[in-house]
Amino acid sequence: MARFAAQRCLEAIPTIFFVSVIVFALIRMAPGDPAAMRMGREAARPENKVKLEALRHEMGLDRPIAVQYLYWIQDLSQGDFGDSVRSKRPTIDLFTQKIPATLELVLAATVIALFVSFPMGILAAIRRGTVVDRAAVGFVSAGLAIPSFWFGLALILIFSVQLRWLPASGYVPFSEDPIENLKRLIMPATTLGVYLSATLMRFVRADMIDVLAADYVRTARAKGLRERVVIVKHALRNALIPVLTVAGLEIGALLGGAVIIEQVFGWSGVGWLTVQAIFDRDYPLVQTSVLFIAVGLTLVNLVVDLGYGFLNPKLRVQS
Amino acid sequence: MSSAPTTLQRDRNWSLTGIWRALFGRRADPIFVVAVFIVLVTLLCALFPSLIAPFDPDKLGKDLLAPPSWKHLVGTDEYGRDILSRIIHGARVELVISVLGVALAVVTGVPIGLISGYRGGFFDSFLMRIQDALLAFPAVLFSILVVAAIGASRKSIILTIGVIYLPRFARLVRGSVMVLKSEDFVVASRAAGATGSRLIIRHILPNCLASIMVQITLAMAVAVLIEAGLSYLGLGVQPPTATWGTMLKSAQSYPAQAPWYVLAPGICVFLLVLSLNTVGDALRDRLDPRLRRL
Repeated sequence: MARFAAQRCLEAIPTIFFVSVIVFALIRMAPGDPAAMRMGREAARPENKVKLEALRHEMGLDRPIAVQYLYWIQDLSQGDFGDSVRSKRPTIDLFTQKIPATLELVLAATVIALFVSFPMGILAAIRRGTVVDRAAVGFVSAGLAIPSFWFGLALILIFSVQLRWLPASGYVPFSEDPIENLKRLIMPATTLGVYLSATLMRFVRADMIDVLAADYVRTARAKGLRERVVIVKHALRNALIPVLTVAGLEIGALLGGAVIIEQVFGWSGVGWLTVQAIFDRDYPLVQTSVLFIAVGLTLVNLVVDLGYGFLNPKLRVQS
Repeated sequence: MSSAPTTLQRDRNWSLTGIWRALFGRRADPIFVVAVFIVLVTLLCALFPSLIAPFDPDKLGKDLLAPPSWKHLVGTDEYGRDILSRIIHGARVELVISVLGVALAVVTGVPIGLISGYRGGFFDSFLMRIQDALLAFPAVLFSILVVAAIGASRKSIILTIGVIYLPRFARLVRGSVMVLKSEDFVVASRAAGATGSRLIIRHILPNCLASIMVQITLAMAVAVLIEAGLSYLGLGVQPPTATWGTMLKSAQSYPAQAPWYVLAPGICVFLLVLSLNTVGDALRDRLDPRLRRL
């Protein structure tokens, strides 16, 4: 296990390196001179040309691209992630401010997905071929095909425009007004939860069907155990391992989905921040948030892998 | 027996019904037939939009946000343009983007997977780490980087889909190659003196084709969703070009006045993605039983 863990951790290092190279390279391809952007309007004046050149030199922009990358990494390691072009504040502060909103949304969506997918997936597997099963399979197909933002718009249309039950958009911090926060959370979290519910339910159902056909489940039944005990203690526990892995790997898709959903509902989290930043051409801010999210996802995947290795001894031996 | 020839190669009946039966069996599920029908209709719209659409998609009209009527079956948008015609013309942009995006992923990912799986060693682990890095970006975030680099356009979506799906194709092929290269028929061929490239092209690649085909269909479905999502955010195709994503973007300002405007393009995306997924799943069950559970 220690060897497996060490190997996986070592593999994550080059991955994070390549993530940073991709982010750096694509942002550097963006049109416009970073030095001119920092100077603002002054940069366009001819008399400031010397000043601009000096700033370019100071920022290392006259060096080869590989050296610039190393400068950037050096800055990052000292906690300097650059300042936002628009608000002139450190990008890292702007980013971390928005984390709670996104975390709240993603967590709420996950909770909804777990509460929907497990009972329905298990029930579908037990009652295979019945109406319940067909409904579950239909839900899975629909959930995977529906464009999330469109589903969000439909919810707004029904619950905000027609029924006037919920506010259409906006984010209020939980600390300021818990009730208002939760009221505004319902629709985005449901929208985001649908896709995850469908993905998870598909796996819960398939795994349960496999496990229920296994010999040890037949043995458990033959022993005269109650059906409830067979399902929960014998079948479900073994079906859980692959489902948890899928859940871990879906975090990426969930965050990607959150970027769009936050836009639909004006939920000002990190996704919303990043999309606004790209429209403002605020490249340092885009760079910081994309880097953080991608590196964060790499680390989450690493933890999921380690957890999976921990739960499933077969995998350790193979590696 | 994982290397048994697929049904495709066994009965070479290249008539239309022959191909249909080889792919989907003699008795097709009605849901599946509907799915194929929807994909074909979309394809027809994409090929001959001007013949099918009742109006010019960009022609401005006097009736703004008119409800569905006999003249405008799905009503008109905020500039009085016929929504149905815009949806039909949008199908072309939609399919062109998905096909080119997935094609980009296939022509880059498949060779990488073949070589990576065949050669193994440092070369393989090096490429795998780069792919891990690409997999760390959700599609929307990667597209934001691409938009920063080259601006928002059709090209940026195609590039996003291509890069996001490259590692998925490469891994799929790499996995198959690693199993196949120690199969008896490959070993026998190598013993007979076949070169590496001949082994890969003549013996290994044909046996990966079925799973590649399945993955292409499923990737197309996701590509349609990505296009819609990105164009909706304004990170993709720009107005006034009609795509289902850009239509939804404009439609969201009029949910109360023109619900049909919000509904129609969304239903199209939904049906096309659902159909592509259904076709992909059916192909998978038929061609590649090993993958059935993934």
